[in-house]
Amino acid sequence: MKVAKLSLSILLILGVVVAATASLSFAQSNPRYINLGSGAVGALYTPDSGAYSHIGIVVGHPTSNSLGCGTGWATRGFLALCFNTRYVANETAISWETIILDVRSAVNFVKGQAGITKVVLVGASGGGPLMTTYQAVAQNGSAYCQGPNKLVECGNNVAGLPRADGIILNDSIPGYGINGLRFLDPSVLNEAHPELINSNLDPYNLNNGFNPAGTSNYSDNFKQRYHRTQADRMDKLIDTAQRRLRRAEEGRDSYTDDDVFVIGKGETGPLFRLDLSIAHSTIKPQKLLKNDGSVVIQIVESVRLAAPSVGDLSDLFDGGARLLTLRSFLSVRAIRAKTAYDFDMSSNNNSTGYHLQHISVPLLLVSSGAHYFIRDNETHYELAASTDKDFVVTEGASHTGPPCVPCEQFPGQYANSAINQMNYMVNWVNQPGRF
Amino acid sequence: MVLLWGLMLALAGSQSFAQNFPTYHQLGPAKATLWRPTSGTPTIGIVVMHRTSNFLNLGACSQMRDRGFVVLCMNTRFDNNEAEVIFEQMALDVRAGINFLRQNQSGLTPGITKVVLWGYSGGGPTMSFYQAVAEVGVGFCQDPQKLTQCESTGSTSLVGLPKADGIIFVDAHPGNPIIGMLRSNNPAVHNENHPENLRARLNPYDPANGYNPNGLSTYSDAFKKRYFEGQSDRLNKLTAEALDIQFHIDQGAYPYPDNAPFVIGRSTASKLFVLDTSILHGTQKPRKLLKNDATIDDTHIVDSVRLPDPTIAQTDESFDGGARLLTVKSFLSTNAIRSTNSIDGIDYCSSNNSTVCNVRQITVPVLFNAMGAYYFIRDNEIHFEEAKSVDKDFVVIAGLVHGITPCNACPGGPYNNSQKNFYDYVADWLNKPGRF
Repeated sequence: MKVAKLSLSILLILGVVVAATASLSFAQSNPRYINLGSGAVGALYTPDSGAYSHIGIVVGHPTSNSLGCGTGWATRGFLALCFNTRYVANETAISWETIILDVRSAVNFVKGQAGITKVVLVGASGGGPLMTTYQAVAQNGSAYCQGPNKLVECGNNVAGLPRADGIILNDSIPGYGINGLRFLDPSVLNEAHPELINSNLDPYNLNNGFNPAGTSNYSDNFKQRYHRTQADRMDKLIDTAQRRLRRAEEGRDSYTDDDVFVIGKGETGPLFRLDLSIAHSTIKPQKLLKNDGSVVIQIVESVRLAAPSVGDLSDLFDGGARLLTLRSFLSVRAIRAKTAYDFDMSSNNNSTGYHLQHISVPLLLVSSGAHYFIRDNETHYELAASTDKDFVVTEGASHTGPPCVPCEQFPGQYANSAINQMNYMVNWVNQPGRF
Repeated sequence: MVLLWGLMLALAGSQSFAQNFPTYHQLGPAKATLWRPTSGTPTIGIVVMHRTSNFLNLGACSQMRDRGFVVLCMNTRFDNNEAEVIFEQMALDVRAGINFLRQNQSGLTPGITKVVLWGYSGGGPTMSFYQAVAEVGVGFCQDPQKLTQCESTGSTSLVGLPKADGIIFVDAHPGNPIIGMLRSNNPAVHNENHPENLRARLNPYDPANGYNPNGLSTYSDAFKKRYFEGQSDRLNKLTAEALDIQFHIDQGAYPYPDNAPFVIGRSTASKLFVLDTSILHGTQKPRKLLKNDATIDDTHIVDSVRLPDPTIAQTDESFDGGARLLTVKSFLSTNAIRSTNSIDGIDYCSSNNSTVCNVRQITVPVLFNAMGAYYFIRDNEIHFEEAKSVDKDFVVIAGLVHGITPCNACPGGPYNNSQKNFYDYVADWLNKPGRF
């Protein structure tokens, strides 16, 4: 915030009471509603003082409501636009290749605000692939998201996107297709009857290692079979969707444009939520942002707890199945893979790791220390083409930042996770010479 | 230079944000924008909400704000996703909006003493349902003849809803099951698994039945009768199918133990009255017509000036736009109603999503507005006739389409002043001494 620091000093001279970065005097009282068009909407947060950094913040997620996200930024002196895409609350309707147009609307809006010279994209969770898709296309052009290897290609309507100047990913998912793959329950034998399963691949079978009261322990052999069969199921789902779509387009089905695509047990097969030995840590020593605000370098282990209750949803439609269409499945939840951990990131347009290889602006990756994306985020860091890049794990943070209280060994052990993380992000943005 | 830049930031900020811009507020799972006049301390607040549509920036928000009212424009917990809607639960979001204004939860609405609900389009059944339950209690929405019932315990209980002080209906639906499903489904479908196969005798897009792809269609009375009965027959069968699935779910004899997808092809577009404007063409009695010159003529039957739209044939055959992607629960709660024909043979109280059934319970002042270039004129006349309220009014706004904009191509124009006339009329109704 180099310009803002200078401005601040001037304002102080003028007698305006403006305190240092995290002061409550910056508090945002009421965010301003912004209509971004095409169904996208935003909430604009600014400090009540009226003075803000020259670096604007854009925060969004493909389907979750992000409109309440800006107070932390505004209280630290930033203008932040939190936006919802046209597909908020409706994954069924998503065209991934269209959604980035809503990011463009948000970026253009912030760029148009008085005094803003730089824009940083902030993608939390599924906002990670959203923001990286946008920036990769902005830096490389529409051809980047086209090609015969893509399950779905973007159109030329995404040409000419204005580039952002930096990206912060907060516990980014590796991609919707990758998550779609890893959350599949591979024991399903018949897609029309997901209740019929292969018990040898049932993650909730005690004989396979399931523990309904805590951490499950699956054998290496089981894990290998499981992860390979997840890819097999994904391949079959892709083949089915593509075949049905071809039939539709050829006028040989009930509709010519799209159709429903339901994946039973599509959300209840994440083995890493049951067996904590999977995706448990970084591979190399990495930064750990500790609860006292200090940063140490070490192999960072996730302190997350097992979630055997996922099994309670396994049979359900609400929470257990994915209700999609042929097109939204192929665009959002599909990826070509050999196993759940060996996949072709370039086969879809929503893989964070693939996009980061084509992005050059400054990048900060923050991972939540009590969640399961630590290794994914380390991979993102390793793959990222940006020369100015940083990676830190927030100790004891549940997904995207709040403290994981059940993970604590003593009360308050991780109580500062969200504030520490926010301050870390702000300090990164304010680093002299970065923006 | 630095000094100037710093000043510029400060001044730009103070100038930009000194206005009464709409502010965003999160009301639990619902979203809201608050629109306040730039001066005065209004005593009447308006809550605007639909079912799934984004109303955060609806034209009424700024129009009524500019006429001196505080307006809270809301999206429900089910915005943008029809498949998720459990209709009865939306009343909880209306309650949140009423409390937000009455209790001055934001600190921005200190003078509000009265709250009026704004039921536009699908917001009509939403707001009328809320008020009916608020006035007569949950017994109303737990009537066993309804296809689904509201809750009276737990986090979604509708016990003790605070009453609103009035309702403004703006081209309100008679009910989502009625307009969205019963009158929109294509009754020529005879196999739900293959909605592409149509029975010729009920096909609305067959020229032999009266369809005109280039303009106004003209169907025989015999065709209309069997079409409307066919629509009822199809929806009754769909309802029976959904109830059967629900039964098997409850028995543990279905692939899922809780809910199931429910897809209905050719179910959104086939409104015969969009093709043949002789159907639902106007009021049955002389009613108020708010004319483009702002005068009111109440001496005539009011006919819709709407134009036919034969292009719905293309929508009908598509998945996106023509089919409904629902679940068994959202279908039964929000899209199903019993009937013998789709026009005047409706068992209005078989669904909680029914403006007609709801207004029979409501006693607060109500204003019904129908758009003169659309097809809800007769429905809103029925709402007016059925409303229990002693203080009630009904007016048709000349030449406006459902989006509250003038129909430039419609006969009898111009209608360039009608939008302003409409909002002025509503403001005058709200401001009438003694009403609120």
